[in-house]
Amino acid sequence: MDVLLLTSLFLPLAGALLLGGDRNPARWGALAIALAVLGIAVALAARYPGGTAPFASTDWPWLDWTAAPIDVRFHIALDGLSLWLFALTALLMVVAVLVGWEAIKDQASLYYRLLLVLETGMLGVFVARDIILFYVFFEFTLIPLFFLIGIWGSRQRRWAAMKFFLFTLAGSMLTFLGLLAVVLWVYYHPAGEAASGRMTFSIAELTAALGARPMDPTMQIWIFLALFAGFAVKAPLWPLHTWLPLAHVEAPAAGSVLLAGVLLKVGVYGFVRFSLPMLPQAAATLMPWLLWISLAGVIYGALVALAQSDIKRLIAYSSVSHLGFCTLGIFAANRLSVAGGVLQMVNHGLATGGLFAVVGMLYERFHTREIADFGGLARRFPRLAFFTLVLTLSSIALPGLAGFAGEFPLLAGVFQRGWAEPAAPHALQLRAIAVLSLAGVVLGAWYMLWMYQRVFFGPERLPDTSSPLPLGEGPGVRAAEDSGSGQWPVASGQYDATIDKFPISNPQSLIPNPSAACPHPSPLPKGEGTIRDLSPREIFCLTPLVAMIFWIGLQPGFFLDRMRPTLDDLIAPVTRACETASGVQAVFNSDHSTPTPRGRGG
Amino acid sequence: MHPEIALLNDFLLVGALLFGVGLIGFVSRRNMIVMFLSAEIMLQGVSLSLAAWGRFHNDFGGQTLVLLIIAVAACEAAVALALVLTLFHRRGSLDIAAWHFLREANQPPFRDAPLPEEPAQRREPWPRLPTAGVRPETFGEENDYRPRV
Amino acid sequence: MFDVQTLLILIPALPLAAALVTAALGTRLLRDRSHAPVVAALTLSFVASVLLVFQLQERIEERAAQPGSSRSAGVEEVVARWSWINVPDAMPHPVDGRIETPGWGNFSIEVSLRADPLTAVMLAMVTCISALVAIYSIGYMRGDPGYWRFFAYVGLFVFSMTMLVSASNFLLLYVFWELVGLCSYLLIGFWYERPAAAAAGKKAFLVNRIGDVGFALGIFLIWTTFGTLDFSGVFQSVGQYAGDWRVTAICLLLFLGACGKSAQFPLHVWLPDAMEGPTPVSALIHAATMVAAGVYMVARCTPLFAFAPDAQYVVAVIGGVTALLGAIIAITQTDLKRILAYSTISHLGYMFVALGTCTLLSITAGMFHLITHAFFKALLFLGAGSVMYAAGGVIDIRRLGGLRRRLPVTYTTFLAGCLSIAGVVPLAGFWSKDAILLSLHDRSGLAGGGLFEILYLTTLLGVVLIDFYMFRPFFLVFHGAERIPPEAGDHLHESPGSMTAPLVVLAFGSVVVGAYFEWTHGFAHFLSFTPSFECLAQSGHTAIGTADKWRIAATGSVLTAVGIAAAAMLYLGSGKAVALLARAMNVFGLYSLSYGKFFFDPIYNAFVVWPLLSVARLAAWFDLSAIDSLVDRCGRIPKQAGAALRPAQNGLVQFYALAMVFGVLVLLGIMLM
Repeated sequence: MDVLLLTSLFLPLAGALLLGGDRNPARWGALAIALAVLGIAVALAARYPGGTAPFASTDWPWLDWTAAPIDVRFHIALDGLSLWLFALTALLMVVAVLVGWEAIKDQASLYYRLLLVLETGMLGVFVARDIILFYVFFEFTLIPLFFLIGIWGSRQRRWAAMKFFLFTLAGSMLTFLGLLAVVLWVYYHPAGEAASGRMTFSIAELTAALGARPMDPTMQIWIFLALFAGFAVKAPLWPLHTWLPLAHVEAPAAGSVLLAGVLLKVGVYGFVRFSLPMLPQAAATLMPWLLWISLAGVIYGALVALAQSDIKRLIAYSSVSHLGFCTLGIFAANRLSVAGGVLQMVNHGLATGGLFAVVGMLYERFHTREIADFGGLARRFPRLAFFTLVLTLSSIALPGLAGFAGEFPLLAGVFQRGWAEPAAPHALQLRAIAVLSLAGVVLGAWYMLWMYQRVFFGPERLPDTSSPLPLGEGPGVRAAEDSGSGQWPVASGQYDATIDKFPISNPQSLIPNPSAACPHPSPLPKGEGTIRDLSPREIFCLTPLVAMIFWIGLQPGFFLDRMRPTLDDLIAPVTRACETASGVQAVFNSDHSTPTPRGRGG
Repeated sequence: MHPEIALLNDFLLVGALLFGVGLIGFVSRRNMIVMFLSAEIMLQGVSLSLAAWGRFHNDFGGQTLVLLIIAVAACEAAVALALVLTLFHRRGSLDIAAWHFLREANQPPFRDAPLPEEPAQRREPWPRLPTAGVRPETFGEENDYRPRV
Repeated sequence: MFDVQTLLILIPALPLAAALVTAALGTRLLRDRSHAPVVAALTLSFVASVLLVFQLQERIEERAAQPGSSRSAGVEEVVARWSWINVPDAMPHPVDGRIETPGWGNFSIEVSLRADPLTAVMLAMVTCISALVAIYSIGYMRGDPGYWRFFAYVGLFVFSMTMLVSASNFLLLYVFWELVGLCSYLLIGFWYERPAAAAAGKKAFLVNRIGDVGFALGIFLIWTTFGTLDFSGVFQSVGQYAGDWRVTAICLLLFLGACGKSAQFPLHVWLPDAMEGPTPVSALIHAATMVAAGVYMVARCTPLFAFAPDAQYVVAVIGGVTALLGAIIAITQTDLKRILAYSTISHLGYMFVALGTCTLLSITAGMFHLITHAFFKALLFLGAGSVMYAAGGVIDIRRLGGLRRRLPVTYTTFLAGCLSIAGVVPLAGFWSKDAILLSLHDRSGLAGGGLFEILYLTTLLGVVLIDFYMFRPFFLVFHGAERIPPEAGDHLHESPGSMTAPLVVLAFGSVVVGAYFEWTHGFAHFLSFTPSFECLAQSGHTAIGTADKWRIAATGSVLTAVGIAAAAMLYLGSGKAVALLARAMNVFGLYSLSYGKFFFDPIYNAFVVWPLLSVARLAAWFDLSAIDSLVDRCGRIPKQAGAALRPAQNGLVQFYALAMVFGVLVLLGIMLM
């Protein structure tokens, strides 16, 4: 039993039950709890001994029925994979609490309680070591987020919440079936001679059992696809991503931060934790398909992001692109690419989570997210411009920042999969994928820098803030809107007409034209005093993200060394499966006590 | 054939016939009281076969159930007739087709095909048994009573 | 006093520290003294670089003095301070019988710096120019609201650039390659409120990104081919791959990166736009240092190129094409800074011609040209800046004239720069140009030399063009009738001392540095001890006779004189001759072609940018109306299924009863079966 981990898991839940009253006690209480959990996460990370053994483990019987052989346990622990996502969640939670500090006025205590419930769910997904427990937390995250989007979101919040909920749930039902199929398979095909007579749900035991006695390849593919359904929706992989932009645009800032920062990672985490180690044969067989899908996400997400006119939508599509990179690395399944992919998950959480927080801050000030409404913010908002620049640059993988530290090993690994590793039947496809994926890097720089240029550079243009608060902000307006928003739309197009218009900004700006007359900067809005650069609270909220981005960027080895043993363990079955499939024996130094100079001299 | 079985067969046959008669009456008649009577006939058919089975197995299970059914049917009769009366007071008709609140919100109400004009009759102050297939007479707009779904 | 390792760390560390200090204290404490830390740090870095050169020189002399030691061993020193990433056994052993390098497959990236003659030369050049530019900027940037920001960026840039040239593995090279790109982005867009500046910054970054993708692919291919990313490991084992397609592919991909950074055809389009940045930035980054990074990288990878003859040809041809292209465009431009930008493109092309020639002679010649070019081009840019400063920001040469009396120091130093770039004996430009011509001539005598004969002639043609396009703005701006734009006000005068002093120093450098290096034979000798160039020592070259040398020098000088004379005739006299010439050239469309910069920007916009944006728009439409609407359609399935079943709920009791009967019958049927 590990008190720290248990505390961190249930403290937010307890907080959610006990918090109440006005806005102030609620938000301060939520902040205190988030900070406490962050403290615990840091302490756990500091204590992490490395290696592959689970750490900070608590293992209690939970559903231990004597009549049936079911042995569901309450087993939580950390390892090199989950520790970092756990810590990321704890960190982003602080950001999420702070980002809505002033903006949330309605039913604030309910809001913070839901946030805390969400935190327990997210932390639980990463620490659960039992399939049922994992699935409980996996679905548990949906409910608070459903309410967060549905109550505090903007215009189409109901529709977005419902779509998000149903889409995700539909996928994860199949995932649940897949997970049960794994359990039952292991129960009916025990690895040893004697059946234990006990139906285990422990992830570690199942992985070990399937390693000792692999599943029938056809069966593997079916189960893989079932797991894929849920995880791919969550991740989200192309073409199952369309709930994401909608949910992001409609969610309150904190919801976006957590959605992008943590919840998308749950899907990818599922691939690394379940799909690859338990169904290696299927992963090896389907590898080209999986990589093509990821690549489609990378390029398609980037292209669609290029055509967005709403900052939040743009960043949402950039998430599709970046998560495509993550899964690209993970499905390529070698040491470099998986390590890079997992690190990239953390990086994406930091950078994109931060960007969503920044958009939230902009929205709080100007009540608009249209790129065309902004211009030249850098002069009046230098701090905001600085933080956004760092987050943007990390997002486009500038060396020295976190994005590069994940992306480079990742792409090197994908490349290696095509060129240097056994992949006999698909080598050509894999090579093409590796080369094409770099197009995402260029497009990524294009849409991010273009957005940055249009919002922060150029002549100053501030949105008109004298108009009344947009929907979702003021309680009065909200009631009027509610009557219409619960319906299913006839065609999705009617809900977002903006998308059909190409970015408002004149694309001539691609062509530098010094003679172009500068539009007259709009007169400063009245009540200028209300619109200021970042407040200390907001700086406090973004600083840890930027600090982590620098740390990971400058010293990725520190993190990679602590996740690699676990990851190597998890992908070892896939490596073996690939070798078997291609009929080629790859030789690693670790398999031999001395390096074998194969092929030297001929 | 064993006489016991032959006896059972006869009873079951009669029970089944009773049930069938009741069933046909229930689905083909629209008068609520007649429908209620048909339902009772079905019940009696079932009761008869229960009693026969009890006799056949030589225990009291069947008879016990029959007694229970009779008791329930009595209560049912009281409640159902009261309900029928209330419904009649509402609409002035015993036609079951006058009541179709259970239909889905956007479904059209059931309408009879028009019949040739009947010879004028003196209007009875008492409940009369309408012929099947005549458009039910209703007071007022039925949709006034429709609860919002 | 300082050993090589300390110096090697100090050189980049000082600018970084200064940049951080400036960024931290710039707004509050330093304000208009923000230049102090950066200028001090850059000066100290320059001193350290010079010390480093001397230290290496000492070692070379020791090595030379030792009997029996092979000359080809090279001199280098590597210092590693921390491990960036270390993934042991990241790659399985090769299965196709290729040779393994020691440490094969360890993805171990150390932040390690190396000092060898090539690096030392680059370091000295970079720190020297950057210190001078920083001093110049004190005057030029004075009063700008972003004063501290400018110096912080410059400090960051010098840090990145010095790290770039002293990196000891490909990944580190790539890291700082991108970081100098970032500094370039930030500094081009320094006046971010000008839309053109912001767009130019983004364009520079993106075009560089395209090159960087090539570079990254090259690195990945190096990784999968050699199993390591260390320069030493790769260069040692490259000999095993002579003639392998992989080496050629690696070289071409790396060269794509170099094309982006060094603004070579077809990725040269960003550099002229980059002139939107402050002029000192143009001088430092877009003339002297950063754009030379591509040249440095190709020179550093000489061992790879040496084994890929096809790649050599590509480098040389692209270099030649760019040299001519840049020169032709520069002839007709009217913006002084853009003329200089195209001149930079053209000169970088010369360097690539030299590197593509790939003999020891030519590579040292290319590096020699890189150094001299840094001096005279920085000088010319700073001179242009001085003109701009005096003329109230006007840089259009048609609106200026006869400034030589108003700006005597600028005039003199600009003249020195022009003479130097034109290659007048005995200024710096002459010697380096001569070295390139000589090496080309030399290579054309070897096997497969026909191409180089053509390049030799191309280069000679370029010499005329250089003289012409450099003296055209010179005569227009400084000679002739006095034309002063209204923006300058009525007090057009010479720039302050902090600006003219660097001009004088650079002018001195432009005049003597070539002759000094040439007469002492120090430069080529020093460089030849670079480990990267070991592989060239074995390659033979024809003996160059003294007659050849004289002949080439004389040809070059005559052509120079022709070019200058033509410019003088056309632009010192009446404008009629110019108009006549322009009209004559336009018969073939040459003038429009040159004036329109060969229409690269419209072509790229029409064939790359717009198609991509249209595809993006199409994808956005597709996302919403195909994928998302499919999702929504799925979401409506339950509702439609419900609608289909609704008529069953008709509220008719008999119907329900009948349904029950049928249900029971079905059940009965099932049970009976």
